[in-house]
Amino acid sequence: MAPTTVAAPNLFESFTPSATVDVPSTWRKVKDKRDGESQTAPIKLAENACQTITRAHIEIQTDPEPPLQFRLLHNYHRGTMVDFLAKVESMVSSQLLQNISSTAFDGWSAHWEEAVTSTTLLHTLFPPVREETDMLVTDLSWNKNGSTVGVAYGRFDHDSWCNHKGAVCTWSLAGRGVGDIPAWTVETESCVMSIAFHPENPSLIAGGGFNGQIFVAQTKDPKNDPIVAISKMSDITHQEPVAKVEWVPASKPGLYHIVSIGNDGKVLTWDLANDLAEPIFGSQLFMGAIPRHLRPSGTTRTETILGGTSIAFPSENPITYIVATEAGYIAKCSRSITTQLSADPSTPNATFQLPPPSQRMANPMQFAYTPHTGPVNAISCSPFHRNLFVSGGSDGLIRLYNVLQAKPLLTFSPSSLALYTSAFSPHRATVFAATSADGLLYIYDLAHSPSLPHTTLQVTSKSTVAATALAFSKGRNEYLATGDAAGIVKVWRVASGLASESVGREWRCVEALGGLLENDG
Amino acid sequence: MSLPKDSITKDYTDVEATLSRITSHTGVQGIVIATHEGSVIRSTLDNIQTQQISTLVTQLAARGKSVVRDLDPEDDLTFLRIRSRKNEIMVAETKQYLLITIQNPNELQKGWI
Repeated sequence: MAPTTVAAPNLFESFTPSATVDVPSTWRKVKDKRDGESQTAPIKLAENACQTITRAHIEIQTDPEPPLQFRLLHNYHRGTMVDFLAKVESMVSSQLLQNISSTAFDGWSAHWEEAVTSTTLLHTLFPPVREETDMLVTDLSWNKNGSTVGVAYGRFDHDSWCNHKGAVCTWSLAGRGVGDIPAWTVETESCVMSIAFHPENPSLIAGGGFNGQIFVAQTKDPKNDPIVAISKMSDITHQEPVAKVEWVPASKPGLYHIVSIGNDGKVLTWDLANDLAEPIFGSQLFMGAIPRHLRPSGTTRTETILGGTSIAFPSENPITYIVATEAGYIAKCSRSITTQLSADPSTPNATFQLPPPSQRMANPMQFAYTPHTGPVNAISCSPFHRNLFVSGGSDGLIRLYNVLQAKPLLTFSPSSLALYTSAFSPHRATVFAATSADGLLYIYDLAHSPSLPHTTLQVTSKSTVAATALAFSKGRNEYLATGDAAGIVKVWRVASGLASESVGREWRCVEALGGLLENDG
Repeated sequence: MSLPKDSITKDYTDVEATLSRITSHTGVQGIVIATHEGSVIRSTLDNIQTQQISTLVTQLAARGKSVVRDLDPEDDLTFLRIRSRKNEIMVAETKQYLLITIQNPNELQKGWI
């Protein structure tokens, strides 16, 4: 039986082409292939150690050169020698005589350095940023090298007790970046009224505070406590602000005592050997030693205490010192009139009995000078002549005194306002400077003019800001620092003519002033 | 030394007297008598200073002498003064010897320090 259905081609069957057609490439060629092998030779490793094990030292040193010896001639012809001497003696003698009285070289000084004709500002040092903002510069002191200036910050306008924190900073003027930040800072319990660098040790500073404390600080080692010693408060120490501290040579060379004067009239001597635990000597200024004609009219009690404001020590005179007082009196005092207040630290075994309060403080005043009207703010002794000192008072007068004479030798009135400072230059015998309440710095040169200032400079930003501190640098003759009531310190380069060493003319000028009375007897 | 003995003593005292006369002038710091070769005959200074002065000043004097002679061969150096900030050095010279005197000319003015 034939199927009735026609086998239809399967529609869903996948169609696979039955044959492929190869079209050979007309351009491609069959690539040649070949097998090959290669290998690098194995890397050779080798280890080796070496070390030197022997050392050799050789020291060499040159022998010290034998000191030069001159040849002393013993055999010479004595006759010709006598002839020679006879011949030249008259010539040499006449020259020697001429020379000593000659004025040919007077005023001649060789200028080895380039002269600076005017006093110019070198650095401006701003106070460090602190909680107490309106602090003024109460005192300035240069260290021995003259490269670092110490600044005491405090205030003058205390109504009663001082609640401020004072500070002492030092600025180094050597090297770069001067004036950005102080090199060293210490804060103190109260306002610092006076500081003084040690005359030999460039890293020791003595200071006196408003609360009557004396302290000594070191700037050398920043890790240790900057305060080396601080005085305690007792009834024999200062009970009013310390006005001035100074280092004075003690009996042994190289040893220094601190002498402080306070607004309570006490002049105390301190020794670092007992860590300033107690003053070793003390005396107190009383009205009794002021002659009657210098006292104000009306009755004044002789036991009235005179508040000290400044102290100065004449050169080459270990016994006397000059004090200035709030009442305007200036007096010469003797260091031998003083009372021992504590056992001498150099002889610890000696027993010491504190004298009763009635005999405690001797009055050291010996001789009073013509007083200023109003407080005397500063006095300074000439470093060149033992008889000369200058004073600067609130009455605007600078007076030049001879130690042996009550009346001032010269009076200068640069300003109608108060003078805060006055200081002799440590380099030129005839130069001294003063600063006033209107911010002016006056530099006098007696060899230049005996009445007018050589240089007058505004050292503060404006004339309402007082210039409150001044210090000549002992180590660098061209540096002078001034401090003002805004807390800013300025370092000036003094004109060469004011800083150069003294020659004959200046010596004679100073000698004429200071030696006046010595000749009369 | 053919001179009789008393003459030597007399010469000696003469030299000493002259030296002390010069030394007694104001400001005189010291005297050195030397030869042109730098040998020292008498000195009132200490050894170190004498050594320095005798060698250095003698050399300078010799230099000065040659300058004067070069300028005028018939001339000769007789006296040399050096002024410094502190001192004045005077050299008196003859054919054989040099007398070096050091003086501080400011001594009168500074006498009080």
